[in-house]
Amino acid sequence: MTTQEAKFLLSAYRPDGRDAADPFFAEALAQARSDPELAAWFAREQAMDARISERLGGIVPPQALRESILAGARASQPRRERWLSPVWLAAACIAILLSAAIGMRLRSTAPTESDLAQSALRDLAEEGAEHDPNLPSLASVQGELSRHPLPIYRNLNIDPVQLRQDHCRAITIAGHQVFEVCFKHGESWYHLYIARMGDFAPSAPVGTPTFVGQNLFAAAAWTDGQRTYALVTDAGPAALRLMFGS
Amino acid sequence: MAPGLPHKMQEEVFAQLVDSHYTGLYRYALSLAKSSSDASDLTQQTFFVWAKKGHTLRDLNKAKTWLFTTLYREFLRDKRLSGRVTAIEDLSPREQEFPSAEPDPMARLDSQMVMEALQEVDPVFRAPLTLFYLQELSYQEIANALEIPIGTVMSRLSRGKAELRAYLARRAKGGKVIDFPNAQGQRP
Repeated sequence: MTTQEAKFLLSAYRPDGRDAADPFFAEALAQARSDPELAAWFAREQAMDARISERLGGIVPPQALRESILAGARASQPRRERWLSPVWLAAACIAILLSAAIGMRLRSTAPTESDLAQSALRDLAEEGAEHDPNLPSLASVQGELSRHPLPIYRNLNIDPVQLRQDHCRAITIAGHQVFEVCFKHGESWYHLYIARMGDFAPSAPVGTPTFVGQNLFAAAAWTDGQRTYALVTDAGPAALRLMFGS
Repeated sequence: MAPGLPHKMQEEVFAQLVDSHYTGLYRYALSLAKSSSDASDLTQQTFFVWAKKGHTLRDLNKAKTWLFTTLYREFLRDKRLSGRVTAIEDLSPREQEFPSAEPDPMARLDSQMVMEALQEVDPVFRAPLTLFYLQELSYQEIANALEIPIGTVMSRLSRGKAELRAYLARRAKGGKVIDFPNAQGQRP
């Protein structure tokens, strides 16, 4: 092994000595012991590395970060494990049977804008990190949304037919197809869900958003008279309200 | 979080995981993202992904590497979305000799300056370099976290250290700090 090769390997040797027993470094370390010049270089290298590590260890995260992580995880925690228990499964079966029986007698109630918002929130919590928002075919509509003047709900002109042709992500909520487009506005990411107006009953007058949310996950739903929308973000209620000019 | 465990226990396990690693992850994220808010977002997003997918990891001893891997992937994903990712192939070779240690550039530098210096290192070298200085992961674990061969880790560490120390040396001397442009002439 040449001196350069030994230096190359030893550059990955951690200064706290945790790699001392790793056979990967054995030959290079042995060479450093027998070569004074290499030994001197290694000592300087280790001293410098140790000091940089020490300084790096002085970087302290923001105070609220830990609580924010824990709260965020709680908000997004999947609940399905609970439903896997036999007791819950049995209860769920009974509930379904009862619902079916009652449903035969009662007229079904159409889902509302609020239902769309809640479902969109759940979708973001469950799938937000999963899907790839970087579809080239959607770049145009994403760009338009990113530049759309606020408040966001005014003059939105999104064509669901075009979204379908552009292979936009679609999910089913309460039996209805809903498209979802991710876009960044300012420093935050948002997810716009678009549904046919008749599929979700209005919870408020046309053009009036209804807000729902939990911790950092926030959503607003509204209708513009043609379509029903839900805008969701995990950047917090303030970031969401910003989009509505409040 | 960890299906199969009672809910309360899951939360405790998760909290322990957060306590053990969020500081290191934040430091790593800060070196990559260059802003405290983006670093916080990256760290939070990493644990969010863990909360959703962590149960797929069979060996909890690998949680640390998994978290650092995930954070780096999330960082790259954000970079791709903002169209600022630098392909490794685009980088010009910049092997540099370790500048003279006189005067000792570290003597007057504090944590913030070290972080700023790390942030100046080309991102391709910055990721393994920060992981190395965090001392949380071995060279093998760094290779796993970044999904690159061990030899590439060594090479990037070597070149990253050269960049970092050149920057620190210039800064210590009070000279003008010149950006390292990438092959496209843009800061990453």
